[in-house]
Amino acid sequence: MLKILKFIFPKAVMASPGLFFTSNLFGLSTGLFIGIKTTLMASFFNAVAHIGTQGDQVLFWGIMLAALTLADEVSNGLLNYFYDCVNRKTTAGFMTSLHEKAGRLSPIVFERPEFLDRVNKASKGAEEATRFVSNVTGLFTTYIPYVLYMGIYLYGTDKILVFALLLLFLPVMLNQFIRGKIYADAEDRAARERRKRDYYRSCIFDMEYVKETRLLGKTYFFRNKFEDSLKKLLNMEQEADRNASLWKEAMAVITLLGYGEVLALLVSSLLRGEIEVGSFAAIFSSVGMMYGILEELVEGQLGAIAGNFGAVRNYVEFFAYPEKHQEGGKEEPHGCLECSLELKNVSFSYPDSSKMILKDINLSVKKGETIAIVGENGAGKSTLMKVMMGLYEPSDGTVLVEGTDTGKRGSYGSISAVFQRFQRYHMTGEDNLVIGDYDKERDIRGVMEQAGLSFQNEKLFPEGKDTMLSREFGGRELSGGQWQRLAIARAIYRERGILFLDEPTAAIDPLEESELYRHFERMCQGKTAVIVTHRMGCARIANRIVVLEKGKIVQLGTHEELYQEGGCYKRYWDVQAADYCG
Amino acid sequence: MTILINAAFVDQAMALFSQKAEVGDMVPALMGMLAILLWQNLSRTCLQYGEGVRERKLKETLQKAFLEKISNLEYRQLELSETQDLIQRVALAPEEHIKLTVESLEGLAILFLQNASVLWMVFLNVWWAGVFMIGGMVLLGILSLRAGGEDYQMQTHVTNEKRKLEYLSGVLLNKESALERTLFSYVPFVNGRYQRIFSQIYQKEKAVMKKWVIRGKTGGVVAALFAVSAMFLLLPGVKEGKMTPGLYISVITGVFSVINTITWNLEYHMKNLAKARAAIQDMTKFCALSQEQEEGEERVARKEMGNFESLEFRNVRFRYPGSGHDILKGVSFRLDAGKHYAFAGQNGAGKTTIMKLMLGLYPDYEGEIQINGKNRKECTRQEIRSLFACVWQDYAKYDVSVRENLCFDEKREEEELHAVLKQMGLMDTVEQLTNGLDTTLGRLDEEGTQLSGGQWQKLAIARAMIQASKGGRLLVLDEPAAALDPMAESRMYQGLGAFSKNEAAVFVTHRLGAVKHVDKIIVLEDGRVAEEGSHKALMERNGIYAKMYASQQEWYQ
Repeated sequence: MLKILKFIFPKAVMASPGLFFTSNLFGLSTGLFIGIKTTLMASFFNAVAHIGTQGDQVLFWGIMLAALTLADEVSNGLLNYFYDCVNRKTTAGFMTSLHEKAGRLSPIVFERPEFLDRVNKASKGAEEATRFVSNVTGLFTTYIPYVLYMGIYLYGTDKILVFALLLLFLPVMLNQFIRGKIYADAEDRAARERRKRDYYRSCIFDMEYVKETRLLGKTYFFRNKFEDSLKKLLNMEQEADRNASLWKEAMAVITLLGYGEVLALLVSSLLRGEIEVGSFAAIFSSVGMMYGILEELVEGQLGAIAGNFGAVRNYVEFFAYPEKHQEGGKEEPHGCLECSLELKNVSFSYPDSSKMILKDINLSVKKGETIAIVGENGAGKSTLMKVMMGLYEPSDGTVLVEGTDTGKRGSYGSISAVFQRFQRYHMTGEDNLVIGDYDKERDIRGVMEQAGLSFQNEKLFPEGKDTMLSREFGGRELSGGQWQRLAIARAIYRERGILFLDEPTAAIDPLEESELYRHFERMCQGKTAVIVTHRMGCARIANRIVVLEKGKIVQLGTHEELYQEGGCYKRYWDVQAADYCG
Repeated sequence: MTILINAAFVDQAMALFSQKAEVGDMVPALMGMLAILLWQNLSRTCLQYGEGVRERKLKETLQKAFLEKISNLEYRQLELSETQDLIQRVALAPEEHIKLTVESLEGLAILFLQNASVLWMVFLNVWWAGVFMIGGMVLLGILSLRAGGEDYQMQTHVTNEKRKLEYLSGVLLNKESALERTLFSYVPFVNGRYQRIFSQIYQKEKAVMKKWVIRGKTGGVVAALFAVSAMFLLLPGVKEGKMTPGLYISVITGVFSVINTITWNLEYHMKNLAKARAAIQDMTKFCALSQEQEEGEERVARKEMGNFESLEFRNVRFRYPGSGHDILKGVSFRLDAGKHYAFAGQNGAGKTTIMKLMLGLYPDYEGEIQINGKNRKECTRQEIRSLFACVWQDYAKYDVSVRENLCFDEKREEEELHAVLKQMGLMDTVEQLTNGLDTTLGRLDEEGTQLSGGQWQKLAIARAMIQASKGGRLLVLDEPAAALDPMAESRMYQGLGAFSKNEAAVFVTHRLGAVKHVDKIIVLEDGRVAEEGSHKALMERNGIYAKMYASQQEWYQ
């Protein structure tokens, strides 16, 4: 608990120090106002009880009370306003930190469903954390000052009463603790089921699935799965709710019995003449109010704190996830525009898996050399590429860039790439390029030209480089081939020593494909480059070709050498070339 | 009730003190008070629990009902981003909106009941003060309601921006962009964009919140003034002995609690009610979206249509809704049973659109499409579906078991599934899986297995083969080999060739070499059929096809 507070409070304050301070100032004044109002009311009632005997006192206290009531209204309004403001800022701050943290993690962890669950929960927790912070600060600025104020006031009249009242709240506190635990546990169990439910539903309407699901006539299949999943979720919720309610009622009975005793105590003091009748009325009404406010404090405030504690913990715990390297931010690129790359005895297996994807790979890419990697589906081509890039850390062996071991730091500061599943960023055209290397100024026009695109083309980019590339956000959509070119432009924009191209032509028509291969040829010329492809014709661009089979390099050499050698390479080549012969 | 008992308690205690009553008289009042508190507490818990039960029931019913509506929406509706937005906004958690409506109404009712008794008492003693207070509350209510409406308008205004925020957050947190995110190290850049958009939203929202507070608090101050005046106006009554001090204290405590609830709750409930009202409007809009007709079973439809015989496009023109130009500008061709066809052409020439039109995904087009000689517009969805088996370029990767990926809940012989998997070269992969055919794929489950792109594609093809295994369907394959290695591609085409020897099949691909043996190649250009004929004929013609073919051939020489 303390650790969590220590973690999120500085973040919350840093999100907007001024607002944080102001809003809590109003929180404090609101708390004091409620307290003062209660005592003023007591004095006023006391005066009313003696009405006629001392007369004027009533008017004095009445006016004071009236003035305070109005002041309270105003303070309350300002409090609401500032709380709303500060909460928004805090949430944004929490999200930003979360993004930064995610950026410092190895991409390999995103392959694990368990981790994706955590990300999911953490981003949900960001909003909860804001509520948590405002509840905790509210506790200290509004409720505790009020309770202290009232405690001192009551203490002056009857000491036992104060302790008795505080004692009353032990069961209520205990209840909140149990409640928090019940809901946090339920949330943990529900997260996966919720993901399933959402997934099955998305199979029915998400553009990724809807066409096929419908044409297969299998909507009902996913609907059944959805309903099963929903049912399970609701049962989990039901169970948690029932347990929490039972606990709550049991504790409430204990509290109420105590409350009755306090009242009896009050009457007996009155009878014994320890308090006078005016104070009796005042204390009676303050005890009622104090009880109400303590109840609100414990059930409302502490209840809310306990209720979202689980979610907040999820948020905070995410930050404890081991990072790839200590400092975030950008990797410093190697100074040179051409780098050599060497793999020594590299093996790789996914964490929690004993299956070796890559086995004892030794490969040296010389400065300015282009290498092609070919092989069957599942031979480990993409994994090899990710290890070469430094995105995945090898389980064994070393990756050297320019002769230096990249180790845990990763080598991607010296690398640019077009991935097989390149991203289509729903951003402006310019941002789609700049995202590749955001803190460098480059000749955008030239880069676009190299990829066969131009922001001057009004048909494609009606608003030039500021065209939003997403219909969803009121812009326009590019075709598959155009996106592909943009991904290539992005890779060119990111001018680095080594270039990786992963099967980049899947969605491109023959004429454009040929054109692109020529682009590649030009891009790779004199550059250190690695191409992963199924198109043997494309592989020929490379100086040397690596044939990968079951995680091992089985052939390595130029096209001519490998063709002479026979084996896998010749088989691949012949099968594709046959389509274009005779 | 509470007020009366409290008053009795105070009065009796005072009476007791002045020796007018016995100690025993205190007991009923004290017990009564405790009983009321216990009752309040118990009923509150029961109410909450009951609300929970009701909420879950509602959740279940509504989520199911809305999903049913979604499943029946016209396909073209789903392609529109407005529809997807609407679904995200109202159809995934419809119970939230209903809950908001009910809660705010209920809250207002409770507020009203709580305050009505106090007001009644004020009214009994000084009637015009009561009237004033009621007037004040009504005024406050109207003001909050108006502000709520404005709030919603602002909300819809910033919804688009908020979606951008969510999108950027996704880019920074999701699995799909993990590789580029790390390699390009763009987190600070995208985070900067995130903060910029957040600030824009924040400025807009702040302005509305300011208005809110001013308006809400004007009402609150007015209400407080009424309370204060009631406080003074009732005083003379106490002085003259018309009202006991106990009752006065109780009434004033009540009046102040009215002010308290008004300050904290009335505004809140009214605001929510206004929000809910607007959300309900959205729901109404969603429910009014056009739906496809409910139809019978595919088996029945199949009997009606028989086997696939022919498909003909006659001068078909089509444009996407909202698009300024025709994507198809008068396309005519004919496909017959038992033959193989290929569509070729540049990106954007309209190949995928033709597939979607064939399959009845879009109802509006000009010209005529005939299936088995019957006008497509007169066929039901089921009838059309029963004649096709498709593999799409963007095939679906269902995160369910291998078996379910192949045949969902249909009963198929184990041997049949094995045979198809073998043909697709997937049998080895499946045998290595922990639970064979029943292994869950994807990332929904901890035990889930992830396939590579090529394996998924093979699975998608296998799915279509199983669907078509009984024959009589037109097999449509859109770029079926994009993710396959050369050997797998060759094996796939051989397998498909054997499988569909006497069946009709259409291949859409950029890899011209792979489909040159088909009976007829139809070359599309700019929304029209530019060339058609066998590979040999088209090569001799030396047109677009020949040019495309040569450009690929060049790389293999």
